[in-house]
Amino acid sequence: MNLVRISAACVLALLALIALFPMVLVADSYDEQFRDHIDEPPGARFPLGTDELGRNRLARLIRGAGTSLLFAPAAAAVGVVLAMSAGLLAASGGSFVNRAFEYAVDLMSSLPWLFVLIAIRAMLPLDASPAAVNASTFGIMAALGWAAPARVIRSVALSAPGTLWFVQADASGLPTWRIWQRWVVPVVWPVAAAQVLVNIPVFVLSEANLGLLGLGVAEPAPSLGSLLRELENVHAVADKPWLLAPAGVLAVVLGCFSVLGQRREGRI
Amino acid sequence: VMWVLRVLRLLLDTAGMVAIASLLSGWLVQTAPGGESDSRTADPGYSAESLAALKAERNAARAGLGRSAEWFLRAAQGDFGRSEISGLPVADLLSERIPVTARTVGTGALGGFVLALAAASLGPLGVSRRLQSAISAAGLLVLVVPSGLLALVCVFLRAPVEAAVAVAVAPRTYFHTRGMFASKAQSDWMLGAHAAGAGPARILFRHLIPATLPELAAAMGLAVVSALAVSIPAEVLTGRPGLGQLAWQSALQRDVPVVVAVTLAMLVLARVVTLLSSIPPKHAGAAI
Repeated sequence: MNLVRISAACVLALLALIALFPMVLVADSYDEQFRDHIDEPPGARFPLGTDELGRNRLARLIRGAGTSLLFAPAAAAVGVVLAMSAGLLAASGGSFVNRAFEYAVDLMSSLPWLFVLIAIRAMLPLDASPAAVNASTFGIMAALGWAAPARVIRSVALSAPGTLWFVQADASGLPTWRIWQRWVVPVVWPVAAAQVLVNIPVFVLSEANLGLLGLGVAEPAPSLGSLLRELENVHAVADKPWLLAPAGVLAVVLGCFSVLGQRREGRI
Repeated sequence: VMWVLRVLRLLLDTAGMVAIASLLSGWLVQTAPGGESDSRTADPGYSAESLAALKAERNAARAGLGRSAEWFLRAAQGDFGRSEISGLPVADLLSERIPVTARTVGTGALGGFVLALAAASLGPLGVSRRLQSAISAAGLLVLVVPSGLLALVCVFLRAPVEAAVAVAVAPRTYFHTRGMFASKAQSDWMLGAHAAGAGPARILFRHLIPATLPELAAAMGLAVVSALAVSIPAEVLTGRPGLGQLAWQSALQRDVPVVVAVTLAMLVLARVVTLLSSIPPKHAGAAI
């Protein structure tokens, strides 16, 4: 583990700790309104100022980062579990299963993600609760993000039957399911873990783009994406540079996950 | 003959995928939990009778849409139904906006591809490693910025929206192309060209690029597909009336027939681009 990777892991751990225990840095709730402090600049009371509804921007940023740091890894993990199931099924199945798998992966890869996310989000009820919208947004990402990892996992699993240890286990009379469970799955496991790390920044970025369009995590709950909406008034940024704080945190989160993902993938 | 068969197979695959996606779309429209949602119900200007009529009209349209096969057959003839909000035929809405998006995506993807190819060519041309590292660092930085933010930067700089698409697309294509060039660096014909005393520019333009034409075509295809996704935030945040903006507006208004038709149009576009990019025969570089 080199210095860059250790630093990235430490930064993410620190951000996760802050997101888990926001009261250490800020006592206010993310949805608490201070009607006497509307759109205030940063100061001692509000280090990042308040928004147009008088809410503490720092509290909202911490909560938003927490949402992305919690939901994106969870969605990536669910997506890779689906990918592992599909990849192993295709690798152990016959030519028909393989053909169906290829077809499904091609279809999923051809879909322009953001359009599909928007389409499926449009089919949710208007009065869905923020928690339901969060879960469904990231759930959709998990359901759509299995294709690329599944292809990688299948190709790794397909290489197993040609190896000497597989032939020896087969010759020893071990049932096929036992060989797959005891030897193939552990070989695939590190690849799956790497795919989780690769998918996390993709999901965080997708949510950020949805949030910028007002289709991400529902108000009043913030996410890194929905907080970026304040940047829509680009000419106000010159007067209020603190509005860039969510973009900075997003870049740090994505950068750290990318470093971890690339290193892990490189090792494999 | 093999090449023609491959193209035919790709065409059949594309038709099959569009058919499956259409049937799934019909099913989604039928089962969507937000099917009852209508943004017009929040408008206090509508009377109770008008709202009841709107609901009845919506339910009738949805019941028709819900029959997947019927919807698919109509869609295959270019009839995607009518917008639930504006009442206009969805096909008309699409045909108005496709040229706008085609221009945004085409110009942006081409610009991004040329930018990426130029940056990836610096390695084979022997340009200093420091400059290459700086370009890679800039590429990584752009990769962690949402494409919507890039569009906002373009608005701030008064740059065309195509610039945002090009900048968003370029890094991924750059890393892909750079890796491809690096993988060919140790091949026999490259070592032979070096040994024969060919200069870096000659090796790049006479050997490396021709040898990687099929892969470069695939990279261009990927650039176009990426540009399609980037076009949504870019068009929305810059106010350009393309398919991306139409998808966004329809999603906010829960105008499901339009959203589904736009997504299908995008799927078809993406598949056609993938098909075109895989047409160059695999032996394109064999003449070296």
